[in-house]
Amino acid sequence: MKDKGLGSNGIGSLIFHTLFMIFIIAPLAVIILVSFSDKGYISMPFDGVSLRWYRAILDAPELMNALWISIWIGLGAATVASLVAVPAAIAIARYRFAGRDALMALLLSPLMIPHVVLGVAFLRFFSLMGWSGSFMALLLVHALIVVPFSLRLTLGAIIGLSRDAELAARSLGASRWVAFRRILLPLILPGVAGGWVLSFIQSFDEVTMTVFIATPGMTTLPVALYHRVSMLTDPVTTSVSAIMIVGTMVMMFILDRLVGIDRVLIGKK
Amino acid sequence: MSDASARTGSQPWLLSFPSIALFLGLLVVPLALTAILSFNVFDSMAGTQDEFTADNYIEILTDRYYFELFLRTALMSGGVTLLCILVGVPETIILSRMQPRYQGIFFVMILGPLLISVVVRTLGWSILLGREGLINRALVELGLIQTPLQLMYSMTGVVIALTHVMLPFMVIAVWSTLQKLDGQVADAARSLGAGSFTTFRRVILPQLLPGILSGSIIVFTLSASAFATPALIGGRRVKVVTTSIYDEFLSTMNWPLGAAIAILLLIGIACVVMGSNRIIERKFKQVFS
Amino acid sequence: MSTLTLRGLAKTYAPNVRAVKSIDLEVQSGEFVSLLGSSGCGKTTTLQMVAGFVAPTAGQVLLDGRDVTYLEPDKRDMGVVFQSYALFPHMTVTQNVRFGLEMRRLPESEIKERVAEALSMVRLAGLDDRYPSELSGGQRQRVAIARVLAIRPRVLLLDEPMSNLDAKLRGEMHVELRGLQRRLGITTILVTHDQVEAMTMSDRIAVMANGTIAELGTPQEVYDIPATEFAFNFLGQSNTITGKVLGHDDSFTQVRVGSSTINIPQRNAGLAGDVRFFIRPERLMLTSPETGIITGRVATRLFLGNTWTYEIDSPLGRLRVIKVNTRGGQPQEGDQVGIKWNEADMQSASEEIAHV
Repeated sequence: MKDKGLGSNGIGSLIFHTLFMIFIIAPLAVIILVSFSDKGYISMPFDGVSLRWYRAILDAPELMNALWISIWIGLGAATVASLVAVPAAIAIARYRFAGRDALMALLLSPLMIPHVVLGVAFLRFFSLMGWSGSFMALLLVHALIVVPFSLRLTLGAIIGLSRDAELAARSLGASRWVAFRRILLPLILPGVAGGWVLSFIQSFDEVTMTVFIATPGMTTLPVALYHRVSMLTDPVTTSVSAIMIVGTMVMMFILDRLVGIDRVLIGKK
Repeated sequence: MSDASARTGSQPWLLSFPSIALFLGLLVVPLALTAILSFNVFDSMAGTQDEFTADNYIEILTDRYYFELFLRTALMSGGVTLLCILVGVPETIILSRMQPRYQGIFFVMILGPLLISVVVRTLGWSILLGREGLINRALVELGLIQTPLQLMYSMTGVVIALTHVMLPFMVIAVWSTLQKLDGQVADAARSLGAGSFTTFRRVILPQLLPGILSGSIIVFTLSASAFATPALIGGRRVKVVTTSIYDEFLSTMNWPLGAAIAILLLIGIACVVMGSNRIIERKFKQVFS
Repeated sequence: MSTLTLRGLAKTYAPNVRAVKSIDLEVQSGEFVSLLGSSGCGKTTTLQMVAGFVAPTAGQVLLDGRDVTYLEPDKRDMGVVFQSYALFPHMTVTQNVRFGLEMRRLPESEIKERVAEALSMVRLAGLDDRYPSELSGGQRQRVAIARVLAIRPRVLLLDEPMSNLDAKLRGEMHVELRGLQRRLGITTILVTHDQVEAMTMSDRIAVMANGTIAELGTPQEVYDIPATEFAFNFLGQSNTITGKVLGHDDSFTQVRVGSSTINIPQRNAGLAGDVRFFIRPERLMLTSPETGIITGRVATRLFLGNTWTYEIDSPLGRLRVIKVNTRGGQPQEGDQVGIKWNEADMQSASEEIAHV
């Protein structure tokens, strides 16, 4: 970053920064540490190191079941979200039409509406429609709440991309569809893929809305984890969490390769 | 350049049709149904009735219990926001002074937790905050306290854990305004005779204010709508709006009342966002446009 | 090759935003026509309507007499070279040039042949596997040209193709592109704001202003004997003189300016009253005060290397004179000088109302 006239970091700044980083890392680090405990309850510190709580995950069928549901919901929701958000992003970026701002506001609204409210709304809706416990229903509402992420990253890729290349392709004889498939899509693919990965993560992590509409047989991992944590302090929760932390780090690495992590998190153009 | 719309007027609508269908069917309709539900009569024996009443709202708006509930939520969110400003703003400034290489590393470390499930992060805090947890042990070891503090199931604990969850949003908001700062402005202030502290207070800080404000709006509204952290750290003792909505829906089963609280939360948050946006626009529009 | 006809072509954006009012233009087969104008004059919109990127609000585009006004751009066989070059960044040079040929589903052997031919035409052989980001600005432009030449377009549309090149390269490209166009005999429209570019390359120039063609003719015609006051001022430099018409004879109109009477060639017998007329600074000559048609005093002079630009206070008002930097003495500021000219070079605008 260019000099902003803020001077340089003194010793006080470095101490502040160190404490800050400890504050940020501590809760995550403590989970990973405790997950290797050999004790039967959550404790810190502990004496012996063991993998018993990782093996214990395999004996918790409801967690394994929830993990698979979360993965499938995440894959499905991210895909559906991309399928609806990419065309919408093209419409918003490439056309000037009445209602464009309203469309944008509508598609971003899941970011503004508290997830508790969404959870309540979907609970009511599903119970009226008889969709409670439906995998497809859960997948579709997850798709809905991650659309903003897919939309924003796709828009970021399209805006700033000159239309000339597509027009050139058209005048060279490409139909609309060929121009999209061979020119626009390859050029925005990193953004679309980044949006897909971010959508998957957001869907996989979602708990506040899902806790309202999950049913005993149709529960996502964060919700299963939430119920387990709220009821008993059992070290299996730490090993599951540790895996989720590592899994997220892997996803972050992928995101960084695709679009640059700062772009995803800060949302700059 | 951006034409092609004249001949193809229907094209943007065709492109956005799938998303609009999804949002109308699965967002607008459910929200409308919830709004209707909030006016339904609830009977503790027979459940939700098809008759309409404003009693749910009247109860919430007149009962002291709900007043305290909303006040507690607002105070919690305000506390988290204040802490995020006090901690996040200096940290962002420190970050901006670092070399790009370190900036990148610390950014990923600070913002990365955003992508980790909030349940996981909250679990980490419940381990740290417990009576036998790391924080209490450290404080006792250091001789700062005699008996362990009650951090779990307390407002303090909730605010600490929520601050951890929300800090990245403040850092992002302040960082994006910092990026727009022109270093020459500070140089100009210095050359006009201002010391480094005066330069910061009178020249740099005012330019950061819009970022701090927009970060505060995000942090405040997300705190007020946070569920997992207050539920797990605060438990039954520290009830906030979101956890009481959960209880109305899944324990008491008084759905109309729960729906009314949810609608009020939505309205409250919308008011905060729009109100602050208006302030931002009025105060900063002409300066920072 | 092909003949391109524009008939009453117009584009209105939103109510009352008329980007192009009405364009009538006939481009002959193999002809090179420039649309010259400043930004906002409607030249780019016109080109986009010809290319099929923008649908006209009114009027027609005819290609060899066939109406293509609402034909999709991919069905027009027009080659467009963009200001930004619009190369496909994810494709190599070869892939870029192949693209149009693949769209035409030509056999592989012919594609190879035509790509090689097009690349050699723009003298770009040997860079086949480079990506656009690995090329210089000049090379990118050559790829963009090769890409459209490969499809052997019926009409070549150039949208400010040289504006991103430095001055020297631009000059070279003018010559090269003009040579290619002549050799291949491609009907071409160039959109540009650069007068020199339009003059050096075109068979005819259409000077555009406010969404219409203000002036149409060969480069020499539009420069030397423009019909409109706009063209006098837009192309090159010009002195504007105001006077009162005294009368007409067979070949001249007499105009009174102050105490002098000036003859200007008669182009409009209806001219009367107060009028404006024009003369180019390089058509005014400095002489000794005795031999001039009028005399004046040098107010300022500017040295430009090959020429001097003089501002002279005269009975006709302040006149600008451009004088080649020849050997020998140059008048100084404050000197009395004579000014003379060939009467044929004094001009009035023939079409527009020249009345003050």
